[in-house]
Amino acid sequence: MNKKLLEQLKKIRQDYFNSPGNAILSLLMLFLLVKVGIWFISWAFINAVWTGENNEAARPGGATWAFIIKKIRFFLFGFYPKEHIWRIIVTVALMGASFVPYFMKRIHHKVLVFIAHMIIWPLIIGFFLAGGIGLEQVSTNNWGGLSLTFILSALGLLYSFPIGILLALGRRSEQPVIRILSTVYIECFRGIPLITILFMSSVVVPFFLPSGVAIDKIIRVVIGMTFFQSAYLAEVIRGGLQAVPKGQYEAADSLGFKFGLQQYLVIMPQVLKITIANIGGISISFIKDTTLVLIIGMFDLLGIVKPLASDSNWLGMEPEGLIFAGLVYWGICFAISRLTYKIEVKANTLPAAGVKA
Amino acid sequence: MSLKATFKLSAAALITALLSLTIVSCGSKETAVTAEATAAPAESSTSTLDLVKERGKLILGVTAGVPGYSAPDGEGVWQGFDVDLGRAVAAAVLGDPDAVECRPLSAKERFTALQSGEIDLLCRVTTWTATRDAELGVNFAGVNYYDGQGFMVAKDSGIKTLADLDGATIAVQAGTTTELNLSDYFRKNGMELELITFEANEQAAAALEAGRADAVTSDSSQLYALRTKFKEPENFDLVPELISKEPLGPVVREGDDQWLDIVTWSFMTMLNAEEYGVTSANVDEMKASSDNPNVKRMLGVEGGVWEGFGLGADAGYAIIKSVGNYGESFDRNLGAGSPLNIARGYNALWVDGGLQYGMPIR
Repeated sequence: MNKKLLEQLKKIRQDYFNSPGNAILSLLMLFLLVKVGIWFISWAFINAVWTGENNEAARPGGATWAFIIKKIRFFLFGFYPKEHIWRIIVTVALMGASFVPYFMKRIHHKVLVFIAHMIIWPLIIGFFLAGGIGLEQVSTNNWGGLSLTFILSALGLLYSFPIGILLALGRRSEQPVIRILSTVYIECFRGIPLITILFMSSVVVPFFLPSGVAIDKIIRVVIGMTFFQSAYLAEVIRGGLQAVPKGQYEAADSLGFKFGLQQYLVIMPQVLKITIANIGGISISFIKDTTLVLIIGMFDLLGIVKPLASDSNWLGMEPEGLIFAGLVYWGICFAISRLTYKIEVKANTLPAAGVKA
Repeated sequence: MSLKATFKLSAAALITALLSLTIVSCGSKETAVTAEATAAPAESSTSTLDLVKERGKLILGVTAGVPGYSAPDGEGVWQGFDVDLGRAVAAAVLGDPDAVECRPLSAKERFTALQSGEIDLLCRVTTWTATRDAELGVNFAGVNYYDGQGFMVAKDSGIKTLADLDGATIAVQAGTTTELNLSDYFRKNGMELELITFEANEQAAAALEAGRADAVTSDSSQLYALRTKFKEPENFDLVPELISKEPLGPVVREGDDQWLDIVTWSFMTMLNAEEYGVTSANVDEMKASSDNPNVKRMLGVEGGVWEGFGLGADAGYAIIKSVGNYGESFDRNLGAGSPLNIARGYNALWVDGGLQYGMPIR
């Protein structure tokens, strides 16, 4: 018999069967795992139904993936008119393409690219998705599904970044007014649940606007979420600021850098490098937080499950819808987690941005 | 912690607390703010009718998905019993039932959306109560569905009326008014009750299906929706009586009587049409040849009723032609023509022993 196999068996015995109690627990766990695994596989694959026109196609003990397949357009694009869906694809493609300059070696001041994003992204979204100039207008009421999740997350993260950095610097400022204002802002928005902010933005804000002035709900929600997220980001960045040794500031001073250049060339590159993992972490939780918009009647990827499963032809399909949405969220978050890890690996092996090797 | 730091911390905490207090008080003042805000647009701006005509479409507040009442169909178009009423109003005002934009709203948002002018009409399974009428600056334009707390039982259980439920085991969702109503009703009538509570309605219904309970109770519309998820829905039915009143109806902003009238009479037209046997299929024939003066007035052949509302003479005709009468809409979305298979019950016409009574069109 193979020696390696024997060794492995021995290790398994040592780790999982080293006493009667542990042996029983191990067997019990194994039994549960197999039992649940078999049940899930038979539900999700063996007994699953992949085709059908309504819920009569459903089979007991099996998932009805036909529901997802029939409704995939709505999961991805919400109730956006079918003939205009290309506009969503163009928007996402353009936003994706706008990342290319980050990888161009010729561009040293990547922060300019970031500022460009802050201006260009809303223009892209406004022109292609909302329409009105040249393209037929599509009410934001019809936006939904994965594309809404994407837009809320992208805009929220984009704008919360500069605000978060300013707040973090503000909180460490020597000027009391700036420091107190920053602190109050951060503590306020961290102390209020996101749900409250969303309710305020959707229910209360319309009453404070002068009559005839209507700010679109999506804009109100993005602003509210940005406020919320920037407060969290500020604290993460402040943590990073505290980790930069005093000597770095002194070094920057001795080079004659004023505050702006000191931060831009010396401090922030180090801060961002230290905080990559944390920023990735709160970004992931922010993307998951966007699901809360379902309580104010916006149908993001999770929220759209309910209306889709209320279709009289597909009653009782919530489990399939929720599992599908969950899998997509997991995919997105896992991808970001891997990306963060890669950036971290890269950042630790390269000199800080702005300093030439 | 140094003294200075402590001071700074408490100052920050104080400011935070003050700010959040302001926010909270804004929240509780909401209804007051609301009332003021409502009065303004109705008087200062143009009437809802003009607004809808100018815009060319009606903006309808609906649920985020309740089977049969409002839900997106396979093409993503919102359909349902409540949506039909909105389509009827659009047909009457604009001559086009498809000129409706449905705006899904959460329960919390629905009245704000109406008051702030975001929507023109709210058809969102909303119960007509005195408080809502008095405090929210809204008006109810009728009752398109008489809902209420009912009981679902197995057909072979022998339970035919509420009285048969004496001593029964009843499943209910915990911590709801439904649960309160249930025990109140049984106590009031000196009946014995064995209660099993569940976290969700679905679990309560499952208890009935599994035979653990003799009956499950909830709003009757809910029970019908739950029944569609049973393996053998044909073996279960509701006892005919309800023990609570949940009249659901369309809602408009207060202060625009013309618009309220239009919504009310669009609905009344659907009821009258059913009573006089006018359907979307025979409406042309009826318009051409009916001798019934009620039908003639309703379809605009004579009387000039609709002009009085600021509408075209064929408003009534447009409603029936495009949406159908009340019975047709009920049947298509909730009744035998839908998976819900809801019995007409209290929602039958008054001539059939129900509560739906169309005021005379004359």
